[in-house]
Amino acid sequence: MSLQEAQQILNLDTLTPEEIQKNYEHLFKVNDKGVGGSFYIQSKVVRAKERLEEELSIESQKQQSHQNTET
Amino acid sequence: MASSMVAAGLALAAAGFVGRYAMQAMKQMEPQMKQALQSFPKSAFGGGFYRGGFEPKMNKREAALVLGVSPTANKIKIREAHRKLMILNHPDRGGSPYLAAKINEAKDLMDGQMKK
Repeated sequence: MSLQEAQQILNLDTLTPEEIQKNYEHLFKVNDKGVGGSFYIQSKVVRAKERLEEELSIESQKQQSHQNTET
Repeated sequence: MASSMVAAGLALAAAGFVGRYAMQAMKQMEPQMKQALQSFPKSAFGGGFYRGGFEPKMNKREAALVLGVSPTANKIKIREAHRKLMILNHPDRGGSPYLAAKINEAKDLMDGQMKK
């Protein structure tokens, strides 16, 4: 999944862990099969969150290595 | 003695042909099998979510999955599913505009493919 699509799915401009979690939880809940939601859509919500968290982790790794090379 | 060797040789040749045919058949089936495996979630619980993003161009299969209906659903079912999902995912109530657009796209696609 592309970063852009993941952001679109979770309706996020900025990537913070709090925002990601908030939008994810809402969208996961409203698309739950138990309330008549679509499992397929819920799946995309899950994959979008995974993709955004992966992006955050990549970014924080980059920042760390940048800090390590500065002396 | 010679005849049994001939028989063995023939059996080997036959096995070879059958094997080759099976390999070719499997190769042809591969894309179908891949797609079938992709659309089938591994388990119903704690995972088994569909992988990847939406298709680059929505097709009927995906439209049916988005709406949670059978690909052969009639207009009434499609309308009900669409309405229900739009209420749940309404952008004014915290839903995602992108997902709402996908739900609309799915409905349009399935409606367009129905015979009038």
